Amino acid sequence: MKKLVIVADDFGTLPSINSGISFLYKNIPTLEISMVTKAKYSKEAATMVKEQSIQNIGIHMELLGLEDLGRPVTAKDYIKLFKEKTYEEIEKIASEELKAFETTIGKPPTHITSHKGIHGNFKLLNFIIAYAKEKNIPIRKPVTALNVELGNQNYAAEISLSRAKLKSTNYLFAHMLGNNLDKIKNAFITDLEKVNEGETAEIVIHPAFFDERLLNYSSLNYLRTRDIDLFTDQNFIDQIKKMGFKFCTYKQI
Amino acid sequence: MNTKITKKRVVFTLHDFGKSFSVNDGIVFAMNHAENIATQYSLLPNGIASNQAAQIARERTDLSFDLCFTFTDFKPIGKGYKTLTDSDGYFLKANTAQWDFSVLDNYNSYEIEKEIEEQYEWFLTNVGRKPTALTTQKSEHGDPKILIPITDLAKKENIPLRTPAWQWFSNYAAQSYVEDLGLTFSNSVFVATKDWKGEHGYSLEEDVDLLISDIKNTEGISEIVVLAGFVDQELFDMSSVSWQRGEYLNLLVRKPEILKRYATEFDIISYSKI
Repeated sequence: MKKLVIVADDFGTLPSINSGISFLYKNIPTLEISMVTKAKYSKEAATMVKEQSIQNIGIHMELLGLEDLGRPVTAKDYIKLFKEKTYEEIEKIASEELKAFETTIGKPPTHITSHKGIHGNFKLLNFIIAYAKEKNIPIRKPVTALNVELGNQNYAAEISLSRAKLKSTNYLFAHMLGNNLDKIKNAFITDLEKVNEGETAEIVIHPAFFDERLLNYSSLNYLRTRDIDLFTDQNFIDQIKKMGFKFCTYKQI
Repeated sequence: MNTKITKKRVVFTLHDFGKSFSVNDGIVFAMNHAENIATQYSLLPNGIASNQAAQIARERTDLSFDLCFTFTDFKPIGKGYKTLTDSDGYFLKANTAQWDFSVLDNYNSYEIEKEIEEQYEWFLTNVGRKPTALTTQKSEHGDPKILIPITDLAKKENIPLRTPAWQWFSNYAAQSYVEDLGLTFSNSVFVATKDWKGEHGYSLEEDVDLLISDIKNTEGISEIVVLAGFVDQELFDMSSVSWQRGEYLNLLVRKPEILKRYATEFDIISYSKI
């Protein structure tokens, strides 16, 4: 059997993101929801978790949030942060975020992911590996490189996670841009064809409804609703299942 | 020697004003945005948020609003129809996935005429002035049954008409009928929204070169029809075209240079100017 985890990022960032993810969760009960703790609407998100009895709730680590900078955080901000802060300082910020999560949700996260893939940096990765080992928490495959001009590869981070023997998936797939739904579906199907029997994959999505606040906040705006369209399409879901995939939570991989 | 080059005239329309409150919010956002290049707004008489849209149209006398007749969506304005509606009073639904509008076969011509009058009266009463053009929501006036009473009205009231394309493409007999009547009309229409699950329509962003080239290859006045709007759960549940409506708004905020290309290549006008 092949296993597939669908993960919705950015829960807590804006009301339209919260409502979009909450809506999609009703359609995909195995959906893993990745929540930010530093955002203005994290509390609203936490209330939704309780009210809807959402079980698969993980943390989307940010280190820097909108509230810290007064604007959306860019990859350059993270490059600067990692340059200026020591391992201990990053650990302190990360530790506070995890603590905030546990306090708000009342339990440890079911997975760990990060904004812009920042856990591909050892200053964060080493700390969360230690935390995840202690609590047996899966971590998203750390494939992202912040300095993308050098190529989006991060072997050192991936092998470190692998050697730590923590749960993760063999593959991580995402298609954030593009407004031709058929092309996006085909791209995901092509991705999933790479997965062999007994292997696991994660698909990252960014579901949200679309409003003026989201439009002004993020360059990834209306296409977030495309992700809802994609994963409420039963034909597409059935097509994936016919390829031998079982939709799973992170715990089930 | 006069070397002045005349640019091709194009009406740039934002469609479905009144369909839902989130669509209205998106279209109003566009109307008020400095980079907006839309010149025409298609107002549905019977959408969930049509009254709100009409109020906005009434106040925005500086903008050009057409009456977008609806025959296969929501409830009619008139009452007591025997052939146009289902048992709950909603218009019979067409199958837009297959572009099957055979429900129109069952529509009684008298009831169609009556409903056209009702929708026109609704516009006059609620907007407080004549529409600058007559259009239909899904280009249903490509069907002679709808086309003939609409052209009668267009002639009587001297109002321009959107070309009666079918499935938003060509429709020779209907188009030449309109031409023969001597009505003012657009000659071709291009849907610039990747609609119907990406099967039809142009993306304003990804297909910019293709769309400009295709428009330039047509004669006369063209119309670009864009579905714009924000998307809440209500719209998502109601329409097969939901998130696609965000493209134009995203371009306004994030990539206005793409919209400027259309404004540079064409003379963008409203129906009130043709």
